[in-house]
Amino acid sequence: MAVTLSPVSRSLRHRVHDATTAHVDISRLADDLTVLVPAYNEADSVADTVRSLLNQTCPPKTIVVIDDFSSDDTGNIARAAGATVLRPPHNTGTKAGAQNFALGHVTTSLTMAIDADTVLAPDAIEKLLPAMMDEGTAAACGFILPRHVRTVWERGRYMEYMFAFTFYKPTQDYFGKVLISSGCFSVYRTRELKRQGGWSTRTMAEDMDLTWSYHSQGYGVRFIPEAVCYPIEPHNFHFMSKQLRRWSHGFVQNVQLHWRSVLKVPYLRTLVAVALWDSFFGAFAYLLLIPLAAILLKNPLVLLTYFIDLPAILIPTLVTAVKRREVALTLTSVPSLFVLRYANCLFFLEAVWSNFVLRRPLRVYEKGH
Amino acid sequence: VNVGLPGTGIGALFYALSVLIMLSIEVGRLALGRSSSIRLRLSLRLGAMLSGVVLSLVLVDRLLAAIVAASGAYSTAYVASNGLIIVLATLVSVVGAANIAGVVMAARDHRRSRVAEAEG
Repeated sequence: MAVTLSPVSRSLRHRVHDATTAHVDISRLADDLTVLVPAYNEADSVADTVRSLLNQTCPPKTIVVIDDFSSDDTGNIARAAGATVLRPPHNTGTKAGAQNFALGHVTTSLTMAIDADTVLAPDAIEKLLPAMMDEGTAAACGFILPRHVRTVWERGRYMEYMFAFTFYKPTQDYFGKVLISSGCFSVYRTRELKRQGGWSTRTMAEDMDLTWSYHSQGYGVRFIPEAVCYPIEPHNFHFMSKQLRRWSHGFVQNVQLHWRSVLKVPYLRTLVAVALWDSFFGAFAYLLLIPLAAILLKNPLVLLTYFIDLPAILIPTLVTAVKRREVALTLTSVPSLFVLRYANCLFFLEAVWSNFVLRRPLRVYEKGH
Repeated sequence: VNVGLPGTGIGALFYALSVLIMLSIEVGRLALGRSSSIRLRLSLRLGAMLSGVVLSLVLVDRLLAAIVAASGAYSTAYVASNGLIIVLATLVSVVGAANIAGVVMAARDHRRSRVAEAEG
């Protein structure tokens, strides 16, 4: 059944949520929580992830690391750090496959998904769980920031996240239509998750697929900015290209898969339409129109167009940067944003070309953080 | 997964207008005595950010205008105002198309379900 929630009805839900949050025994919620950590060759980072879960102010009942047939010591390291380790009989091929392998073993009411290269702020679970007090909420996600911000790629991603999670996501949350409950750190109501058949492997972006399915069925998805996590982002172009390829194809695949149901959900359809337009025509303008205009008008000043939206990005980003005392890091990362944006454009156009023209969708999940 | 090109194109304008709508909803709720402190704080915070964004965009526009005017290339006021009109018109078209398609789709589904009800 497709139930469409208006902003007003969502607001009413929020009000119920606001009133009850103060009285929530969050520890009791955490006792009903299983954390799933899919891991393939994550020996370098999985122990940090498990330790950050164990050191939470409200630690979860169970931490399950799914050692997806790793060829390194991921399983033993995770076990030694204090997690329960499950190992499928063969590599499942995708992160979603590994998560689904473990989902059948989950008996708690809530399930959390965290990547094996992600650590949580000590109070992340405590901050995130109250969102699940509302029975209509099927999933909730938190604020994401790269753990390391050194290379141009990490810095570009840092800027993207700082901006999107400060300005875009809270707006989406207000209107009750969070675009994506990020796969690297989200909590789900287990009953609804199992009803969806877990995480689907039909697209390269299982988190987007699940979020849009929830919205289409009238479930709520929340964004809680106080719950912070720190994944390791691609540090070089090799890994970044794998991630961007997966994400771009994932977006296009989800639009192809969900467009009918998304069109029936007010605000979500507008979010998706605007994101799709900007991804395609924005990329086109960025890569072709602006340089072409500079050449035809014989005026290099036209290239200043690239920076015209800088204040729109910088102001919200600096608001969070001041709070986190990262103003210098933010300002020195600005040039990297433009490098990453250029790469984003290339990979998105490639995804559109592959899916719509060549009819060759990406089917092989290549890990790249 | 991150989608699109944050900050660019019609997206930035769309979110700015969303914040304005959010603020007007909250003012209305406040007037009716149905406001929530969490929602009100969120909308005020985003509204303050939006004010900063608009102010800084105006400043950058003035700066670019000065640079371009010094080069004597063309009227920047003309370029800036036309740029805004084009972006706004594009946003209205995209949002309008998505919403019309959504309403048509919902109406079609409704009609189908009524036909199915009548038949069976």
